Amino acid sequence: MSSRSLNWSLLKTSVKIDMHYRFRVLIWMAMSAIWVMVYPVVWLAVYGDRTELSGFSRSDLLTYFIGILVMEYLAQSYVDEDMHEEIREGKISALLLKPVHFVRYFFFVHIGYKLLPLGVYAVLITLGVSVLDIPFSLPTQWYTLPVFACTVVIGHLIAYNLKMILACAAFWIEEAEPLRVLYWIVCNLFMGWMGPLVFFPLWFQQLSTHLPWQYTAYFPIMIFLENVTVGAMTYGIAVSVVWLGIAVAVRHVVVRYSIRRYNAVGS
Amino acid sequence: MRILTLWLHYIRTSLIRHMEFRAQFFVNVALGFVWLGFMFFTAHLFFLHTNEIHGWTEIEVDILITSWAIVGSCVQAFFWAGLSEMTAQITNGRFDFYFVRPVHALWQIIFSRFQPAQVVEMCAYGILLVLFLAHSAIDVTFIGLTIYIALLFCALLIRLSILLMLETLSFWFVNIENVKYLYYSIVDVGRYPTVIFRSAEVLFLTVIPIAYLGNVQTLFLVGEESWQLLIATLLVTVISVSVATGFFHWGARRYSSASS
Repeated sequence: MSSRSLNWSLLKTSVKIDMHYRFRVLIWMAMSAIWVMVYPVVWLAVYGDRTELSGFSRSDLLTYFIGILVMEYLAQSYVDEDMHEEIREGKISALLLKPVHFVRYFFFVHIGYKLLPLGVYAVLITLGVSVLDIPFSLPTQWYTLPVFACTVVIGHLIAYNLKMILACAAFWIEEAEPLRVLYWIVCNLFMGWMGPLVFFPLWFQQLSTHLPWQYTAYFPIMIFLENVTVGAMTYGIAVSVVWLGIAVAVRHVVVRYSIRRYNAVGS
Repeated sequence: MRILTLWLHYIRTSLIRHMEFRAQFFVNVALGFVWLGFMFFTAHLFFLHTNEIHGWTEIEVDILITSWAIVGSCVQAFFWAGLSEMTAQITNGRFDFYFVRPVHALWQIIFSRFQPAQVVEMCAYGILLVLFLAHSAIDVTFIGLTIYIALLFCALLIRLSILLMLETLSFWFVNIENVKYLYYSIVDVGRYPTVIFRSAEVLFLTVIPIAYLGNVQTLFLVGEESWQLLIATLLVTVISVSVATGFFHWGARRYSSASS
């Protein structure tokens, strides 16, 4: 089987699993939607009578959170959750025997899992914006969408590699759940899940510029909203590429050493 | 009496189990404090841009979050570990064991597991509440405090009902372990003043009763109580518990084990 057809098969299998466990997918979608819908409501309450806050109009804010909802599927990765259980219960043994590396396996399987929810969201958002007249800011510059697409891909690769490093913790410690929760908190704070980072204190904004998480959600959305200058955009892309390089290198080393420690449950 | 003895036995075995992994216990306690910091940082962030949100001041929101979290950590400590495993046990057939034992299945699911780290968290929230009240101009009366504690108990029952109803869905749908995350996202809405949700507030006071997970309690504590709200809370608690247990029994009738 060629490399491309193998990737395609993994994608198709995930979509089929999603189609089979439709209610499970629905729960994930409902969960993300509830979480993402709460923050704009709270922020709009904070706006009060003001039309904008830190340069963000109400329309920008709603677009931002629709973006966060989409980025949750486009750029984020939850590979750690699956891998954690596979390692703990020894099920990863079967995966290690397959002629495909588990890093690649999980990458395509997880992309496959995103396709169905993304399709549903695309329909719902289009309906919401066109029928219900939800304010939505569309880009005006020709280069915005291609740059946005590039940052989404980079963001996803950063998120995936960081989560793979986190997932490997299960090779070293028995219960990695607290570490995952801690990562979730840090990641959500710095990726802009709770609100645009311009709403945060200045020290927090400066700190987040040097950390990888904002490049997995906040930065691409700001590009979509055309809320960054060309200079800041170039700088942001450069930093995110550096973080991608670091994440890939660290993931490579961590995976290599982690597998050596693996001795499977019951063996 | 027999039930109480059994519950104490469950607590004892859970404690022994947790003390085997002491590092894990301290990690969980530390994580609880990180989580606490995260929640108050969020609230503080909103108040960087405004002095009040729909009439709620920062200290009132802090009290709301603390009240919400006291109940949340109580659920996590005494009921979560057992209830959240229900889906997996139904899926793999291990749920059978609950039916063959001489104690009601629902009772076993709810009380069988205990997490001591969350008790530490609960105490921390209790201390925080006292500190917030001491630093505010709120005059707490004995009656007010008694009603507040009674309402926290109602919040506990409502939370358990929501969790039980979601977990009961496993009798119909396979492989829905993620339903516990849905529970988190639903109850999480309760740590904000529900008045900001405008028209949806009615929904949160009736069908999805998350307004009773912290909002109502805080209103009573800060002296904005109303007897209608008290009666509504009691009524919603009774309805929630009845619907949840009824739903569980209805679902349990469908259970046919994983391999049969």
